[in-house]
Amino acid sequence: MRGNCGGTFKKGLPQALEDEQGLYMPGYRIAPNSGEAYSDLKIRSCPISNMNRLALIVNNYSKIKNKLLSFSELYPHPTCAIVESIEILDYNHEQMLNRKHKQALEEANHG
Amino acid sequence: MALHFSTSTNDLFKIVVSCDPAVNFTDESKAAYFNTGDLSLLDVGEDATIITLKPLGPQDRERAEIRAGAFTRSELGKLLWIEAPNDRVEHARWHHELTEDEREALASYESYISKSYVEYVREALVSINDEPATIDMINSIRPEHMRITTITEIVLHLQRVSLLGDVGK
Repeated sequence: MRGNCGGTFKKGLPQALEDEQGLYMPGYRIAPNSGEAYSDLKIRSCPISNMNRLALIVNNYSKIKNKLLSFSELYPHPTCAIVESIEILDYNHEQMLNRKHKQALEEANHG
Repeated sequence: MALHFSTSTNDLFKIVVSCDPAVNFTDESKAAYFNTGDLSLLDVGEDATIITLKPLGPQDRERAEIRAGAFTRSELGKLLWIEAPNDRVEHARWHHELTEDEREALASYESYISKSYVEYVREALVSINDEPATIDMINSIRPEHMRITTITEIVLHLQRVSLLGDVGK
């Protein structure tokens, strides 16, 4: 996957599946335990380049979450897209914490 | 999801429109240009019209949508617009089955969408060929189909850089 960063998947990719639109990897294989919405996605291109593009926003989200800097300090003139991105990151972060919490409870119960 | 958006409304960007005779392209390069905004994908002649835009912030978008009639638009029309079939023939049959009230609601929502496109352009337009510009200049473009293409393509670029999704609120 990394050898084709950002581009569509090439033939020969281990565990890749194929449909009428071409090669894809199920979301759960790329990022296990990322929630139902992502697990069911068909990922058709290498996700690394998009992850790299998002890295700065994810870092800034951590700064906001840890109260090191405020949103308006980091983004004094925000576009609708960056507002929505931070909202999506926050929602998914909360979902991840909920999943971890649920998993820890289940492990404790079966213990 | 394409990740080509801006994070700041101060990041001005330049575009050309496909109905400009000084701009040449193939179907593939045009589609790639709409996805990325990369002007180098097109053959842009020296006398091409360069439009400078600013990405929309939440307040810009809200102002535009209020002016377009966000508070009085038809909710039934929005619902019908969302559920309308994409296929032209299927769409025509679906539309034929609508009641008079539903048709009016749909037409009213479509009119709101058109107005909001014009209002987005009003908010975002900075200059044309580096001269300060207003929406009146875009509205004066003739023939009419070129005016509509210009507005539609400006909105497409605005959605690419300012929004994650492509659906108005």
